[in-house]
Amino acid sequence: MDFNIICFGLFGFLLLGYLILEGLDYGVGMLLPFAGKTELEKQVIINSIVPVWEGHEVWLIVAGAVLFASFPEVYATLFSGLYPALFLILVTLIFRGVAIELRSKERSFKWRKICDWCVFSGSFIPPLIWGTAIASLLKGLPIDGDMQYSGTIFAVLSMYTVSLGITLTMVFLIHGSTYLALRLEQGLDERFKNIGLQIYRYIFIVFLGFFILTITDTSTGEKTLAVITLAMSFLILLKGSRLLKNSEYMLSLLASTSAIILIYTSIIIALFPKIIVSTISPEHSLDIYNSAASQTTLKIIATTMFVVLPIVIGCQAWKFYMFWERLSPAKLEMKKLTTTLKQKNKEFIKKIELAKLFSETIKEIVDALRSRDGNIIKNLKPVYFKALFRHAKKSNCLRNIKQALDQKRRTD
Amino acid sequence: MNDTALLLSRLQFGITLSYHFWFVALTLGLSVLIAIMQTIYLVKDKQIYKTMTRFWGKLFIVNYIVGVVTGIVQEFQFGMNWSEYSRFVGDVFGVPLAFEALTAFFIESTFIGIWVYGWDHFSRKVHLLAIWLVAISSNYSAFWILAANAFMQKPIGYSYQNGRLELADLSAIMMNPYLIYQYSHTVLSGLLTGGLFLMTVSAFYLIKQRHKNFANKSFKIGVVCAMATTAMLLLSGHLYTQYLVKAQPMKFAAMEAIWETTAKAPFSIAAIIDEEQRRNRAEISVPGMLSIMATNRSNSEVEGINELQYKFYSEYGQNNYIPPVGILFWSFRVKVAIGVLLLLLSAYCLWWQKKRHLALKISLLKGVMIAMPLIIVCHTAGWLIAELGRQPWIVYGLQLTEHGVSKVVPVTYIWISLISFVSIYAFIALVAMYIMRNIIYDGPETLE
Repeated sequence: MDFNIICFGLFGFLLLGYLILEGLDYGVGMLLPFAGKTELEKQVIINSIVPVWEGHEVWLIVAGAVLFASFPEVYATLFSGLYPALFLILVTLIFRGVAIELRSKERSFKWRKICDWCVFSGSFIPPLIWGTAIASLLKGLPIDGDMQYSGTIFAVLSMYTVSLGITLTMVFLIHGSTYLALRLEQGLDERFKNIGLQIYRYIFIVFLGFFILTITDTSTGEKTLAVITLAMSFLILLKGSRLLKNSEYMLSLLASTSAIILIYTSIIIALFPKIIVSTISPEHSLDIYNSAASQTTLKIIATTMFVVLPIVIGCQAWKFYMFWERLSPAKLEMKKLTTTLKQKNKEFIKKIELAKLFSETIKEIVDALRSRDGNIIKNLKPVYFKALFRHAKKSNCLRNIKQALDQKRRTD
Repeated sequence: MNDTALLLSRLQFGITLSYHFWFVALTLGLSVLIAIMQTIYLVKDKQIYKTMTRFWGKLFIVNYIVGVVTGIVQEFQFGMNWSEYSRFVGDVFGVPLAFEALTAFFIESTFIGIWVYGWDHFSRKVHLLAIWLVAISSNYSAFWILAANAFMQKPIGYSYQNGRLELADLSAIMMNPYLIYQYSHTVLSGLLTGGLFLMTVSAFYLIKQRHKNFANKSFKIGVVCAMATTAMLLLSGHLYTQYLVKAQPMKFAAMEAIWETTAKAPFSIAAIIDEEQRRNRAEISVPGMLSIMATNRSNSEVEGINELQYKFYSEYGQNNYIPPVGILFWSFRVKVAIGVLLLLLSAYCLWWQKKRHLALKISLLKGVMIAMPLIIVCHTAGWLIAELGRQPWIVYGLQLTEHGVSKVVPVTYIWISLISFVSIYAFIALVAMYIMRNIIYDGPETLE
């Protein structure tokens, strides 16, 4: 068994999982500041990803760690070479994560607006950069003989790489809006369906450009399978737009998912067995053998992943299923009202209990007064006593007692 | 140029690590305490425990999210700033990191969503299971991260092949003696942080006379936890330091500012350290104390920095192998002083808690409220000792820090990233504290 291939495949799978799952959240995040017209709508939109986004982002972290362990040379070369790009991703992801979780914790309008834009930038910039970076692996980076990146960051930029960045961003937008159309109701599903269709209209132009550049600029043309996969993703996207038009959201979501898988797979096929192509000299390219960790490490990582991945996927699918419900502004408002009502109810019950206690106390006092045994306070139970004097200040009950006492003295 | 890059990379890594740990420590401890609260709720079925779980859970999630987002930076930095290091040790060092991500963090981040947003979606038992899984997996993830760190401190289970370190024995990495001391110390300090956090917020309520029942119950859990863990922490710190005498004598000597090898070594309480002349200009010390503390025998020798420097020199060649003595010396003293102070504080609180007069002790409660900043200072000092004491090595005895830094990253980029990260961290800390403050001011959602 070739553990290099297995580990590369599993790493690829993790990265793909990240793209598919986070693609959903990125799409939703990009739409957040524009598509929600009222605060309530925005809350509904973001609520569709809030419980799950973290379980999605973890795929990136796991992919990074697995890359570190199984292909340390790739990890080191890429991350140090593309320092500013990764820095940008980190910054936007920090703001995005904090904004998603803390958005609902503050009521002010300004705060929520800032959060919306943080979520937007954290959803817009990473796919753009990841797309560009993944494309540049195939297009080639200036890697020298010591496996060091020996150029400026601008070596990453070219028509081809940027076109993948844009395509990926747009596919995520479609992915997200289809997901929202599936999850939301009360007119919002129609709105996101229309947004999705609008983006579909433009993506075909961009995709066509990307397709042509792939053939002219990269070595993809040498591998028929990669070209076929890429062409298939185009067809799937066409089908997806048709499905979305017919309001078949679930199937349309499947189509956008498969489009992501196919675009990604075509790049991986074109790359294989290389991981980073060197523009300086083909021998300097990093492949799954010269950049890999030792066989022991690869074996351990691969076995662990075979055990862990099914469990995690099972857990996440179950979680998705449990949180699956169609969301709408009306429902959210209802929920909020119910919570406040429950709270009010609790407060009422407490007040009624207090009132009961109070009336009992008064009754006791009156009884004590009637019995004329002279020692009113002593007869009171300590509980009543406490209740009486804690609330005495607020009401005029103290005055009443005084009056009663005066009356008693007079009658005596 | 390379020196600046090295210095800035070290600064960035150190700041990110300390900052990350401030939040992570609370996550480690608080998650366990919340899980305990929720278990009590399930068993006793009293509303107050649900209120407690929910309230502390709200604060927990604010803290948790900052820990997570800085964790990504932490992971990516190995490749971004320390690519030569990553190449050299990736085969060994990457494995515990990958295990952490695969077996612990995957589970943790899946179930945190279930716990925070799933109060209405899941049955009570499944929901309880979720918080326990979060608590266990976060503490389990600490194990792997520290396994990676322990490898840097005391390399073990590797073989030197093809110009890099390769994994030879994973179980040796897991059973690294350094890891055992470090892990117990870290997990306990996490619990202490959690306990102190409960105490601090409850003390605030007790001073303001709000939510008394809630605050009393939370304070009780917090103070019991803090009392137990500080005592154990001092013990584990002591054993850890005794272990350092054998494992990293240079770190130990620097912590104690012992320049010359001496029998019946004195323990300095304070010293004016002259790092250039390699001596202490003045010191206040207890004679013979250090030998007893280090080895339990009063007449044993403690190796001094100068001898160790000579030893390293003859073994590894010319270099300065002395870590920054002054910082280590004072960090250790601050850490121990805070530890003892917290022990006394929690013992005193526990005493009044038992007597049920805690709410009347306003000055004591005000004292409790400074415990939280103190513990953060303590965490930072602890990491400074652990990581600066290892210098100039990045992997003890195998790679120098200056050889681990990325070769291709221009200094400008590091300047930009360092400045941005620091300002972002400061900003996010402020935001998190502001939001926590609001949650605390609003109080537990229901009235008692």
